[in-house]
Amino acid sequence: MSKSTTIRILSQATAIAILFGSHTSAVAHAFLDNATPKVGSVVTTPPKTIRIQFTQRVEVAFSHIHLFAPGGQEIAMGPAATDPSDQTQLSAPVTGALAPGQYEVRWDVLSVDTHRTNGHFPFTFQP
Amino acid sequence: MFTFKRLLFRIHKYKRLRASHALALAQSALILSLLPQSAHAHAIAGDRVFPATLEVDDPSVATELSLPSVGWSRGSLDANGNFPNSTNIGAEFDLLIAPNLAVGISDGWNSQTAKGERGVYGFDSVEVSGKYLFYENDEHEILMSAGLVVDIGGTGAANFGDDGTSTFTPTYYFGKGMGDLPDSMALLKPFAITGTIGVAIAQNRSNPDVFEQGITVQYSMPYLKSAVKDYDLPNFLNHLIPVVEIPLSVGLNNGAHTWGGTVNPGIIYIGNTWQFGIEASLPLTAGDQHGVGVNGQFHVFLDDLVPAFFQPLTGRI
Repeated sequence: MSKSTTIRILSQATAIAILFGSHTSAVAHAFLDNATPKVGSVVTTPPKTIRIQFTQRVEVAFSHIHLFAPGGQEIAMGPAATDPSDQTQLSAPVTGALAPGQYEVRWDVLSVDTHRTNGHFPFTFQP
Repeated sequence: MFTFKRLLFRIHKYKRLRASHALALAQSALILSLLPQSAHAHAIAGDRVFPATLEVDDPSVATELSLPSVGWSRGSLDANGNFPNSTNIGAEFDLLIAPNLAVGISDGWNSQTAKGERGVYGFDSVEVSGKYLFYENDEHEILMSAGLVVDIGGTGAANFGDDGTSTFTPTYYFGKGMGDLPDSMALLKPFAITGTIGVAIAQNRSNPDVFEQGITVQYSMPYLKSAVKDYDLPNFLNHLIPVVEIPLSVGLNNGAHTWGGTVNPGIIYIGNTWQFGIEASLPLTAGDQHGVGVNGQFHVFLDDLVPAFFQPLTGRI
């Protein structure tokens, strides 16, 4: 097998892989792309909803958002839901009361290709 | 004594081996495509994604492809007063066969040329590996793996170090993210270190065994945005991971006790299914390299790019 043949085979294999990728809908690990409240932000009014935009579509039945107060106690939240027109957006209403302080949002999701990811980020409520 | 005819024989033998390896991989891929199972991939511990670094192997197990990996540098002064140009073009394929266990195969083609001299060309020895991820701690962003890397003797060119014997390198891999630092040090949380420690044991006992270690220090802009503070930076910047890699080695016996290594500052752009990295390579010692070299690599996370095709043989997460 000549060097040029080897390179041609490798090129074709790469092309096939890319072709497979392009025919597969956007699937991969779901990572946080942006959030409301923004990651690390300071808000002057307590958020009514925590919304997270992921890099991939997520399965709502296996995806969760939790909110924790500065002392570590969990704040009551409603069930998480995805945007009907955009399955990459997961949100959950905040039903508990928030006192001033730094809060931590913890999320765990299952992307549509079954990869699990989790993470957390802070925001501060300072009226 | 090395002869050109012997080199041709080795290359021919090597190519036959490559063909059989390719067939085996194709068969494996076919089998894997028929198995509807879930998979884990990437080097992820909690919020932390460790990128695939170019020189120091990362602590993850995954189905992934590095193609190509390209390195260029100038060698040390030769007998004709030249600093020869050394180029290596390589590839590596790793396959997850269980949620925490991966096998891999890699090789590279070398060229060494200098003005007025006849060029020297040849393949590296084929390298096969197995790696097991035995510890993951999401809260503290820690990954640890152990593996064995085997350079198969007789599959590479003699003038690039293959004397027909193999080398066995048991290796420990680790990664630690700094996300558990206190909030008062929030801007340091995107830092992470990874590293490897191994001993290359030569089958030919007249060759030296070699202690190999590598460390990387990296700062993850994706981590900064998603877990610390979103500064509304341009999207391109939010995909960058500046990194410094320091691969080092030293002979342990047979009179080879000289340290060798490089410092490789560079940057990695990481997307969801692929990444690209480029680094400078600065020699730490007066060894095989003269001046600054360059390394580049395109890397694909196959189990993300084609998740239905590349799944582990057994197990779920």
